[in-house]
Amino acid sequence: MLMRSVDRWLSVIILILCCILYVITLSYPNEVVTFPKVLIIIMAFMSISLFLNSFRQIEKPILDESVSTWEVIISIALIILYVVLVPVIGFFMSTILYLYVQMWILNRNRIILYAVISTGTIAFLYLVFVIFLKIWFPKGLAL
Amino acid sequence: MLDNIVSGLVSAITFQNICMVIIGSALGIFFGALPGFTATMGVAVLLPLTFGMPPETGLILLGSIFYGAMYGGSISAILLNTPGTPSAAATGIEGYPLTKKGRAGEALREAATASFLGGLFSVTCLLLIAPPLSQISLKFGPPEFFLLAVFGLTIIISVSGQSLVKGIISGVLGMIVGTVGMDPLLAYPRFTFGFSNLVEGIPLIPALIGLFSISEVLNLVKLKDQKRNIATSKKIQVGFPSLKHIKELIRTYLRSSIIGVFIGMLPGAGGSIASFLAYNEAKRASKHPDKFGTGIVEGLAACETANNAMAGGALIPMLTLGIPGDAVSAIMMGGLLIHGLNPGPELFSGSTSIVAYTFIIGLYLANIAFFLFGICASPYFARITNIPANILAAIVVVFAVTGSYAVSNRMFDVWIMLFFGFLGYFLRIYGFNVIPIVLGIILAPIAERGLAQSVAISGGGIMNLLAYFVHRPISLVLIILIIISLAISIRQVCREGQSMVL
Repeated sequence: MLMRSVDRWLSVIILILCCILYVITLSYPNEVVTFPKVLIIIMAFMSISLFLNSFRQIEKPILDESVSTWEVIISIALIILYVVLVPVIGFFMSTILYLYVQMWILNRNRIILYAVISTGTIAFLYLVFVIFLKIWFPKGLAL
Repeated sequence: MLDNIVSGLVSAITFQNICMVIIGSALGIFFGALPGFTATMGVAVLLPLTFGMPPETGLILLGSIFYGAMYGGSISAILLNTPGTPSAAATGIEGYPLTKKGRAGEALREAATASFLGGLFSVTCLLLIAPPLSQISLKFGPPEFFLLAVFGLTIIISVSGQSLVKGIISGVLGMIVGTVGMDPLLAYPRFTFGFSNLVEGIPLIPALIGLFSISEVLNLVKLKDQKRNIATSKKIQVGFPSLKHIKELIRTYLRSSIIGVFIGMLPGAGGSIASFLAYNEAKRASKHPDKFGTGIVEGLAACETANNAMAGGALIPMLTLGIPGDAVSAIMMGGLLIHGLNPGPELFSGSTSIVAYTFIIGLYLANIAFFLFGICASPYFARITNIPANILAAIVVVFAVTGSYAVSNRMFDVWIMLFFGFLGYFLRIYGFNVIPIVLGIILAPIAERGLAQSVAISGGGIMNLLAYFVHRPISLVLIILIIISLAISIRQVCREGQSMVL
């Protein structure tokens, strides 16, 4: 995708966001939202400026072909799944699973090394955060 | 002041603090040397480790990571021509040709020496300038704080990257995020969307961790592992610099240190500007400017001195006025606040002065530590650039999740961290810079409170407000500074031919 067409879409999205935020400010007393209202108006003007600017831009692709987009999408999904699982199966269990799967997804060569690193990281986190800093992490629904 | 320095010295040289200096410097060099990882990310990810520590020890750890990372960036720039940090980009211009000539040891020694001397100079400036500057801030009222925040926001222009419009959008977006929570005068909750956790505002540290670690990790995942060859580093001998050599380059060190500290004090100018400016000045002052770019120690010394001098300079406005000079000092400000310390005059007087002086003395120790690491172990640190990106990415995500949970022991903060991490990643892809967002989040509440109180005191109306601002000498100085800063930044932007439709 080219940067200038993306900029046009982005400017429209930002303008819609500004409209939504402005409507929300109408439900608050005027004296508490003057400052945010000014900011929203500035952002709306800037989005229009971005839209106009996009017509003057030189055609330029956003993503390099050498980058691996699917790995990013899988990584984002894994990170979200990891955080969803923390309250369900507990922090340490979900962390060890996440570490192993994330490393394996990105490079499937050294499975034993990944197991060692996952265990080592958990041991380090337990030592620093639980024993040293006395922070208790979610233990999950089963415990 | 001398009493405070002595107390700071006594308090800094405890076993615990020295251990933190050593650990922090090593971790900093580790983060700095890794291409794709920055000093900002290192400090953001490791910030939660300081929660259980006494404030001065925590700050010393963060300061050591910061200085270590600023130096660490030069190792990969010299040996691999891949700057570990953006501010080490200029270092590679002279460092890598030196490596190709088989003089890598000399280049690494020069980088360590120059970073060390630049660092010492900047910490001395911090020690001498910060306390009197913080006393001036005692005279600050609501208009001055508003204008100071506006001055801080002028940074956005210089850090906008490829598009000024996108930079301003990022900054305003950050400011809108900064208005979430209770308003400063009536304590009326705004934009909380029913989340009681947002009444106090967006939690700053999880947002910072997300913006600087998750977005960088995703960027790292996106780029495939580059093959790196550091086979030559095994044979490198570094060794201590001779006094004669230091004497020969003393002018370069001094000139670059002054440039570094000055640029660091200006909000947002940053390390890469400082090192390029110092490099240009060294070239102009040199007897043989034509040799620059072919591997000349003088050029390398200029970049590295300015780079580390900038680090101390950036801490001056943060510690004295609460206005961070760059992204790392913004995170360190988060570290101060979490320990219940407020930047400004209170930090340098009364019971908290010992914390401030211990921290500054600790920074001297941090400089000594990374210098010794640089001289004795930099070729070994270079080997860490071989660690695969998948392992680093997974570990950094876990640290980011753990750290943001540890701030207030709630999963809500982890979701905030993820939200800002993903937002930062997508904004980066589409040419936005995340630093203006951080500045907006930090400075919006200061600006809003200052403006609301100024309006109330002046009796309302734009003319009354303007008259109120202009009749206060410090306000007037700040208005002039804002105009100068805007003029310089806009000139710089126009020179670089950035897109600007206003």
